Amino acid sequence: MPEAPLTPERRRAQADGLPPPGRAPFVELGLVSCFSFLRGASDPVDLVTTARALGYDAIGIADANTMAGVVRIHAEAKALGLRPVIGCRIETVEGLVFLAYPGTRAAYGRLCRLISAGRMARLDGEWQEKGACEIDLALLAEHADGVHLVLVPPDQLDAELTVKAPGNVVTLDGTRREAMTTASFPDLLPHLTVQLPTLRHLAASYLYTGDDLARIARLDALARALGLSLLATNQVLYHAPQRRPLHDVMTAIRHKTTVAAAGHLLEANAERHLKSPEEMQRLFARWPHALSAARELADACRFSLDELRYEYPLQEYPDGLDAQAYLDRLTWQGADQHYPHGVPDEVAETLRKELALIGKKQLAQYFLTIKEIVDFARSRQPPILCQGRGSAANSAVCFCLGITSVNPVEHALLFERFISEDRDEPPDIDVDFEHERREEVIQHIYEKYGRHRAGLCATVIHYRPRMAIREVGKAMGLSEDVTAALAKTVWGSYGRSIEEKHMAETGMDLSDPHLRRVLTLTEHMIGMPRHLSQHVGGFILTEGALTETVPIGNGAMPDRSFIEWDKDDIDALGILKVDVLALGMLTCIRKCLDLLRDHHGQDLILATVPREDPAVYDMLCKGDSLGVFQVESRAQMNMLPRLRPRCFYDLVIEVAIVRPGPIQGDMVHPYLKRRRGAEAVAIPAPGPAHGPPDELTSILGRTLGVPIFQEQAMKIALDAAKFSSLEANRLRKAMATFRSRGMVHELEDLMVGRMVARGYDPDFAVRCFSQIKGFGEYGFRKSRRQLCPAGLCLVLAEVPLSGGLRLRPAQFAADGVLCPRADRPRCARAWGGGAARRCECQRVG
Amino acid sequence: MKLLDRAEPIAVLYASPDGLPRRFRWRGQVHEIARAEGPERIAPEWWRERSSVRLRDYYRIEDGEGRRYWIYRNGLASDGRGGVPEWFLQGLCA
Repeated sequence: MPEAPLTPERRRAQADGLPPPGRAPFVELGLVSCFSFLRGASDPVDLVTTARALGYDAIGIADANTMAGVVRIHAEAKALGLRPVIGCRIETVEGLVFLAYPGTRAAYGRLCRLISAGRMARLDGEWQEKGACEIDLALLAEHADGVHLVLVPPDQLDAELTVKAPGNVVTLDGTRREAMTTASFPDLLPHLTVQLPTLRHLAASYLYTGDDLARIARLDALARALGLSLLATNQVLYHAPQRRPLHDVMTAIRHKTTVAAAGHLLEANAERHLKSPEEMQRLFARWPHALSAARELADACRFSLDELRYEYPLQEYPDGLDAQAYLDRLTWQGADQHYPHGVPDEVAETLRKELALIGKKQLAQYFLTIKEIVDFARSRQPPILCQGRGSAANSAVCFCLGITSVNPVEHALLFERFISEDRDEPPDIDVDFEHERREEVIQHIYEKYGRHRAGLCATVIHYRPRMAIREVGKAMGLSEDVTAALAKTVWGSYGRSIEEKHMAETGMDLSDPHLRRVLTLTEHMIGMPRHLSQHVGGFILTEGALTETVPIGNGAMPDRSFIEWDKDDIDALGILKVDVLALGMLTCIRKCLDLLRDHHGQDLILATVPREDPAVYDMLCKGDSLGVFQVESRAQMNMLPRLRPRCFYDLVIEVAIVRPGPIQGDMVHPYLKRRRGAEAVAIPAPGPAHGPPDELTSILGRTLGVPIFQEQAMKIALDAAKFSSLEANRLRKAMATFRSRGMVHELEDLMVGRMVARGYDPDFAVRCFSQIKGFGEYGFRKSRRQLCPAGLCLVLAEVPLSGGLRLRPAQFAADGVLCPRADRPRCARAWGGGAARRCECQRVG
Repeated sequence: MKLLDRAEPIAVLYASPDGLPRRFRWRGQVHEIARAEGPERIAPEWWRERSSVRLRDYYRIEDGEGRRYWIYRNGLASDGRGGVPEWFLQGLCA
């Protein structure tokens, strides 16, 4: 059963259809988002939506020593017609704080390199801890060219700071030695302006601290004396004052204390929210130049993330061929190998179409890169098992290249699921490798491209409900047993809201205002990012230095590093990535094959495992599927005796049918009825005036006229509802993301309307679309599990043991799956000895 | 600064919503405010106070005779937690 997404559904800003905002007199540049972990209490969506509502036409972003949130701000701002201005809040070890806004692509690259330097090594050169960043003034100065710096003064202006600055002692050869200088901020300022030529602004904030007027006046004088300008900012921590409590909770968590005990660690008021340009004008009425300085700086920073024009690492191909020509050659070579008796016309036609589209979209290099990785894996001694899957399995080119193993002759493919004209995003080819040996593949990629050009994507670790209730509860002074009891209530791992009935189970009094506050805050906390972690295997590869595109930080393990953006961010920017995934089952299969060879003298490889063993299907028809990949869930065990699979394709249907898509579309019962002959197989057809009666035969024939797979649903949209490829693309997107609810109704009217207009049975049309909605909840595609063929067959093959014990490798698989950390040599010996060994799950036949 | 055990209500002339106080009347006497500093805005301790509690804007003021006081305005007219905000004297410099 596919898991629910690990992160709660990602929110997107709702485009409101209003015209783009007019030019505002001010731009807020001092914002932190929740990607300054536990320091910003608002999501980029909320910040951007609020900015739009307040009448801003541009919005800055300056998270603390990171670029983790910039892609989201960029995407959400653009969605709402705002111009995102990309920056970063650099906090140095000396205690100085700068808003850093790069004016150009090159300056942005320098800023990324600065952050990377701070995150990959400590100032003393040692390996930097994960999540930490050390930047000193000197390092900043080295990277500041083209980066507009706005110095944020400390709260206490006369507090002393220590920096390394050119001292007062001038040696005989005229140089000034650097000395550690301790001075108050106003006294240090002149040194800073010398060291940092791009420092031209001093930030000023009206935060209702009581001395704002005097303070800002003093800063203004200080700035003027040094030729700097004041720059207004509200030093925004959250989008609206209502978020202050959550921010206070975050502060308490960060300092490992409770809100009640945090005292001065908390902000005294709720003023640090995004304020309207008019409000800022009122607050800075005496210093209008502070507002215009911010506007001018925002105007001067024209850099946009769209400029990260992704350049794929340049490669050389044999015989001086370019990427497309080489891909062409390899594809046809592969085709000849797969079809030694001649490439069937249909397949050749498909290949030509695909290659043309690949050429048009200039994706040849991408395919060749994946092929290179797959070939590398298979060339190892012993070869690493690997398999492509996902939407790439719809590609005949991938099949010919050996990346996937779905033969277009045997299965109807839908290339549009993989790439289409209108899709702007790069395609996704996921490749699974044996999880125990995936590391070799990762090292190969690093070696081949260099660590400076290859980087793993991040994954954002969010607060899940249980962790959220524990930490928020603790910060709010609840005892551990109370938070533990709350955590146990049925939120599941992915719930977002607290339901009263679940609370009632704990016996706690929901009318208690304190408890209610805790629960509300917990809801806000769920989904907030906690930290970044290394993604399992999403690589991005660049031509130039990776650190000039996105900052890189260290992982928890030595020699592990990853970029600050996650896969969604990479997709949003249109950067190509390669997914090197690990699949435990492949390792299992490897172990099975090894055991078979060692103990039974059978030397099989994935491709030569005997298929379609009737005894295996006997087993499955009885529902005896424990330990068999893909069909061992309770729901599956329930369906098996009803569906009674007798061939591999039946299993493909079996796996697909136990899903919300077919269930919601009410397709399960009709299929089962037709299968056992209780209902005639009738394939829905359009009215005679609109199309041929066999319009849907090629799509629905193999599933007895009942649509089961997502591919079929899409093909019906294309063929029966005559969707254009643009409309089909929108449908595909709506199916892939269950959050686009608005889109769904529009598409429903379109699809059902058109089908009915063409004479299809309205009930059928409606059910088709319900099915599509169901797919949106838990997308399942036929080709996703084409990994199975050999795997399933292997585990289903029965191997008789000497001594009359019918040993089922399904049990091997069960051992592997259910006790993955078990001592494998022990297992092997036990089995090899023919002994009946008790293991957690096992039954020996 | 001597703090009063109980803050005493005063009447204050000021520009709405959070303008500096200009003049105040305390215990029958009117004082012109020569100098004022603020507001220092203290929002309620939301984790332990009722949601009807209002924020306070504190001001340090000096009247025409050079005497200094610490006053606050309880709430903002628009905060939805009450009507027109009232002012109080919290302390004075003896």
